[in-house]
Amino acid sequence: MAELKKFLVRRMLTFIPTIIGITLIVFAIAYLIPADPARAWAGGEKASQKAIELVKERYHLNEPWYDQYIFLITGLIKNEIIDPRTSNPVMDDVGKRFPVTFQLALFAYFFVLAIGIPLGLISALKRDTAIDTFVRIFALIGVSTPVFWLGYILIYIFFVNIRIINLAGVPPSPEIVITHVPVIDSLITGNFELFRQHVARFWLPGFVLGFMGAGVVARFVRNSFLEAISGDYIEFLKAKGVPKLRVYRHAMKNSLVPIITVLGLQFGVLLSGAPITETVFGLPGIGLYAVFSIGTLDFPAIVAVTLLFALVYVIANLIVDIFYAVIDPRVRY
Amino acid sequence: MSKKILEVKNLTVHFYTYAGIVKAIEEVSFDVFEGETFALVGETGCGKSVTARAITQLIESPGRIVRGEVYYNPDGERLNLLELPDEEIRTIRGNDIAYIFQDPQSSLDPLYNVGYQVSESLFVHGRVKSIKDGIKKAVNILRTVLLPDPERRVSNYPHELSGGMKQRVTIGIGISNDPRILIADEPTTALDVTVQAQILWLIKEMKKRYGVTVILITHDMGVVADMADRVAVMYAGKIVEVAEVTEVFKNPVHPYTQGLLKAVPNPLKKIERLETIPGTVPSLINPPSGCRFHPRCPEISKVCKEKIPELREVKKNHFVACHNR
Amino acid sequence: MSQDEYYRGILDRISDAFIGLFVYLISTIRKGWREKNRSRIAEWKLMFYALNRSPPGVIGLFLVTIFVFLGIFGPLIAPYKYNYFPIFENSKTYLSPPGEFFVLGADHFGRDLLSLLLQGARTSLVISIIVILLGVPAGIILGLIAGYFGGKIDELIMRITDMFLAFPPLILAIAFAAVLPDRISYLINTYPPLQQFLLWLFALERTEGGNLSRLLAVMIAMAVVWWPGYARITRGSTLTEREALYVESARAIGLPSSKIMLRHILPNIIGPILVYVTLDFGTVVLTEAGLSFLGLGATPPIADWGRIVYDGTQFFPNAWWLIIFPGFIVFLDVLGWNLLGDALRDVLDPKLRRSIEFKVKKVKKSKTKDMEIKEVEHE
Repeated sequence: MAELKKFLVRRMLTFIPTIIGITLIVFAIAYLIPADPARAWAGGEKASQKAIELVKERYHLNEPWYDQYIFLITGLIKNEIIDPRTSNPVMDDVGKRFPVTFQLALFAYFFVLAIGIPLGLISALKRDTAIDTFVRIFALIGVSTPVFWLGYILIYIFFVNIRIINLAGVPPSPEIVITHVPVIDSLITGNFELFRQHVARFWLPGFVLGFMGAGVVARFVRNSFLEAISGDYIEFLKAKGVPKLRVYRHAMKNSLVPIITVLGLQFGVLLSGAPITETVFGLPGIGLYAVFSIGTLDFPAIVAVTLLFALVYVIANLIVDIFYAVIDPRVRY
Repeated sequence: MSKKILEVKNLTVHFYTYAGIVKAIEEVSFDVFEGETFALVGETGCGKSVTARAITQLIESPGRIVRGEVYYNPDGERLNLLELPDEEIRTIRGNDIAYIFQDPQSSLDPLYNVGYQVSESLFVHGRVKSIKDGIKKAVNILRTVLLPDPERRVSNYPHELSGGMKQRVTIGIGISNDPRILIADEPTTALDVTVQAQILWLIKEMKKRYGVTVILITHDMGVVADMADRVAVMYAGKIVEVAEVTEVFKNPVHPYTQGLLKAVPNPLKKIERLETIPGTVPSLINPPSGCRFHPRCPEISKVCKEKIPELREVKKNHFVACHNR
Repeated sequence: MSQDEYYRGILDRISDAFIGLFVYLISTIRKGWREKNRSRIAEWKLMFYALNRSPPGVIGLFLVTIFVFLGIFGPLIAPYKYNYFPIFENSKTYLSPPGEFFVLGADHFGRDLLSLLLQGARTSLVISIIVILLGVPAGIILGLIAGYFGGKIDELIMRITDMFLAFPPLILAIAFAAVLPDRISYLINTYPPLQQFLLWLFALERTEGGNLSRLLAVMIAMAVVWWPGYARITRGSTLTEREALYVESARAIGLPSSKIMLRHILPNIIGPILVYVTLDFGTVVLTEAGLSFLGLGATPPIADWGRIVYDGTQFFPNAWWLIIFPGFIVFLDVLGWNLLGDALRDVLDPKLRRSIEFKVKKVKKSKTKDMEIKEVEHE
């Protein structure tokens, strides 16, 4: 156990340069902009010279770039930077919107797992049959479908025609905050009415966002399982007289290592696809916020969002690493 | 002579591949007597492994057992193994008839420790109540196959063991349920030369201790001379000669067996220099007509191209499939 | 079955003719090329035969051919120009449904949706090709360098690659797409020939010069996020190829590293990369549509599939055609590339490929005289 801890700490240390690099890239983009953000933040064309100077002073815009960068990052971490557009601390704005996106990604992830894994397994067990072909085509259709198109078609069916979903606002968060994800909190605290509301609001966007990933995962599960089941040790298990289901269990566990990698990557893909889904379904999440911030040259917000995405990526990777270490004894700490 | 524990009759296995039907083995028949070591010898791809696997229906798609019977005769019964339903043949595998495969590196599941894997083979045949209970027995089994420090080794994973140790574990799994027949499919091919001798010695030792009948599959004539009581020589999916081991080495009758023995050092005969058999192993999709060896045979006659030779007893207990003997 | 064989025979002949034409064109430029590359040409033919035997592959090839054709000729065969606004002449054309004035209906400027889709095919094709042309070679070269030299260079390149991969591609592209236009419009305005070339590429009128920078920004933004994937797969294949004997012998006779990488390693690893490009082409089309759906990239009156949907959402669900039709077109285009890529992957899988080729040869031989069959049996 102590070894695992050491391993995790070492892994986390290697993530730090990645996070710094990512924020630097974004900062560089922001820094390159010829537009005058100070003027925009101070109130646009009519801003007085004094107000602009004040803004420049406040955000250290007259300092060299590395000073600006350090000021921005430390300020964001301490939550001292005030967003020039909304006048709230940036991290407060981000913190308000992130749970929406995270919850959306969780719903999407649910669909990815609930559709992708069973379909993949069925397709592997019924290899080269009509079911297998169906899953292959389903996967290809999944990666070919524009999210916005699928979203609007389903809205047309479920909202315009049968009116069983609503598209306005987001249900409130439960009063007791534990995980900051409303749907989980409401379930834990036993507020089932609120839980139902959240599910009703999020299931369709979640399905749309997860549709692509479900196909990808199904194909991947199929191929990994087939690869595992053709292993020599599977033949030896059969020769040992191990019953079929137990043989499948061995194959499952062995195919899990590559599958977990893809599942880890999928979470990032889902977050990345969030802006479009949020636009289609009118969810006030971080993706929409990012798109809007970019449009208004709101750089502190952009860097904050980037930082957050990088953190999520790093954490997802870490979880994958932990799973590796638990499943596969060959992974060296 | 003791009783026949296994009778293989007209066993035929085909593989249905994209490129065509591969006739891996065709009309293979032989008997195995209780307590003996029976060797199946032949070049790579001649169907030895397929034969061994077909005995307990271990043939995977696209392969299929097309014809044949395999009678297993334990005490007083006579079971046709190829007609048993999945669940019944499963209880035979590993319990009555156990296997050891060629490559110990890949025979063990890399994600479970070796104790679990030995115990599992006890558990699936109802010898222990749970995998956990079986671990203690697993230690004893690993001790009998001379794995050093078995108490500690049971919690090791396959990648932590050497090739020889892994093969000891698979042998341990093989003998764990005290089987009547142990089928060893090239058990030493993937091992270092020094380890090979130890593993062969271990198989002999297990045979002595448990009285198990061994079917040994190999391409190594040296191993045959060392281990076997009787030998069946296979060529291109057919058995060409069956006899006692000394008989095969002293008086090989089939031209292929003769060629094979000229190609390797013979422990019973002095030969001046090693010779090769001209030509190559034929495609099993379109095997040669008549005798499958005829394109490479030095003594070919007209009938060889037209008629498939049957196994005939040319001497007592010496069977040969050749028109010219 | 015989019907199948008949159509496959036709497909085989078409692909033979296509390769024949290609070979003819090359050999007119480089004399003796045909004689030198006989085996390569035969290999190509077999690849096509294998592809012709995969129904999804044939459908994919068909779709891709159609969309490339529309990308080239779409703006020319469109019934109306993209910047013709019927609403000024007839206010009833405003959001007129399919069949009333135009087959597929009209947008809020009264423009014919069919014409916009045809014009949009050009926009999509040009953007995708340029993104691939900018991103893929950059990724391949970086991957080759990282894999071939290894050590510190490898470490540095792969760290940077990882950073870009850690980034949600859409967000990064959005950031670039939002930031770049100002710089680019300056560049375009300073070089009029560049502007004219781009206008010609996108089949736009001179008046759209000012809108080019946003299109270009999207392309560059996508290229920036596109190279890391290629860097990674190229590095992987280079690492295994580097140990091969032919590389060692090339090094032994003192060839420069650049030559070994480009002339010897690259041709050996390009196959899987090309499959990846085919699959990726669809993703590029999809991402471009997504970006313009978010309001980045093309601005009206430039026709762009994603943009048509973006503008159409304000009139949803009444003007459903503005969303359903463009979305379906994007779907078909992407599906075509994915089907083709998936089939190509099978074709390049040596195990599957050999068996398909074997069948092709057998069919061909059985069609010729019995003599040959006997010969085969003798072997």
